[in-house]
Amino acid sequence: MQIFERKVQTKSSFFYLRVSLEFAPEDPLQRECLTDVYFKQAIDNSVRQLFGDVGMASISVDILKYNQDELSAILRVPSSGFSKLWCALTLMSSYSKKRCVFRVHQVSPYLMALSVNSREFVHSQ
Amino acid sequence: MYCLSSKTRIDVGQTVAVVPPGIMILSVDKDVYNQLGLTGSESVFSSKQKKKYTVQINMTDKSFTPGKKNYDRVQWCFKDRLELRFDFLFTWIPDDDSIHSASVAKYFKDAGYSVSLCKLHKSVKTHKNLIMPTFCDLDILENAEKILEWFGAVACDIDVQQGTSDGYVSTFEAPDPAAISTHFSHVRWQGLITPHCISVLIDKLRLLVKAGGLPWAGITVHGFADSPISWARNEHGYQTAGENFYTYIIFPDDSYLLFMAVGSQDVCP
Repeated sequence: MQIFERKVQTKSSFFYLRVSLEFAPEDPLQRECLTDVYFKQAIDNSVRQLFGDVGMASISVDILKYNQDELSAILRVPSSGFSKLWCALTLMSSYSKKRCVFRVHQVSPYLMALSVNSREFVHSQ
Repeated sequence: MYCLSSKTRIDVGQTVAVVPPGIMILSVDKDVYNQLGLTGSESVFSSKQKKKYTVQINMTDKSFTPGKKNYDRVQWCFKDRLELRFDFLFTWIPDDDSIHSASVAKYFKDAGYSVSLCKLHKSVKTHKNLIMPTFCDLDILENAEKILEWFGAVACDIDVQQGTSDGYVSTFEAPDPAAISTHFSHVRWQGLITPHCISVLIDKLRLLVKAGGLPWAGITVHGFADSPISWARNEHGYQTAGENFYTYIIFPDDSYLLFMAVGSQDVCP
């Protein structure tokens, strides 16, 4: 007799975001300066600007993967802080007195979903 | 035959798909639906601000042949009422083995359409000393979310070994208990892949796990984010994301784990 168990989960503990940081072309930041620690600091600063120190302390953001050449990263945030983080990233306008913007490319409650993007994939030979 | 409109977005604009056994599914907005004049139904994900409609046409129906009312009306709606134009991705598996699947491309080319061959993109990565969960010691249902997250980390090429070495940047860890795999392979194919192809691959993985002495093998299949349908031909939408995928893990004793993931605009499979 075959037995199986099924569990349905309707809420995810975490949300994942694929983001990149772009600086104004006329005022770029040296990429060698922006390590993963400083990138995290940029994210924390954006949350602090909008929600204050208490807000920043209540949202725990993990940088799961960081590409220093492209200034892109995969972030993980608890579901409760997802909207606040996305708002904060959207409204951030400068880092180290240089104009910049966070681009949010993909969001999902599953990390697996960020491994592919059928909208960006180019079918070719 | 499988077709999907290329570079269309299900949340803005129109999307078309063709699935066996010859069902054409259109997802259109209110204006196009009214102009098109075909009978359909309101989408389950339709809202007051954004009305969406779904139209299904059975192209293998007896009444859908040239000269019959059904066929002539559908053709008139597409050609004369509204000029809808799409680029399509398509693939065909002939019933007869003596027919080459590329003959469908010749058919469309002879009909005057521009056709180009697309190939699957393949990438292979091998990892040494990768921290991975030990399924036999884990409560699978309790840790299902963490297990799926670990598979996601491998697929995204995230360095699972870092763990909590730098607690400020990341606190990500593999599910506990974990073991170290000395040789781990990750192969990826991207493109339009048929269910038949996936079924053959799963059979091969099953044989490999049994004969090759592997502790397990896994396969993740992602549906297109802008497909109008998902599992069991249920409607699929795109809100903040259009994820619809499954991860299937095979063990040597013929037991398996199946994770099915859908987005906010999907019907639970």
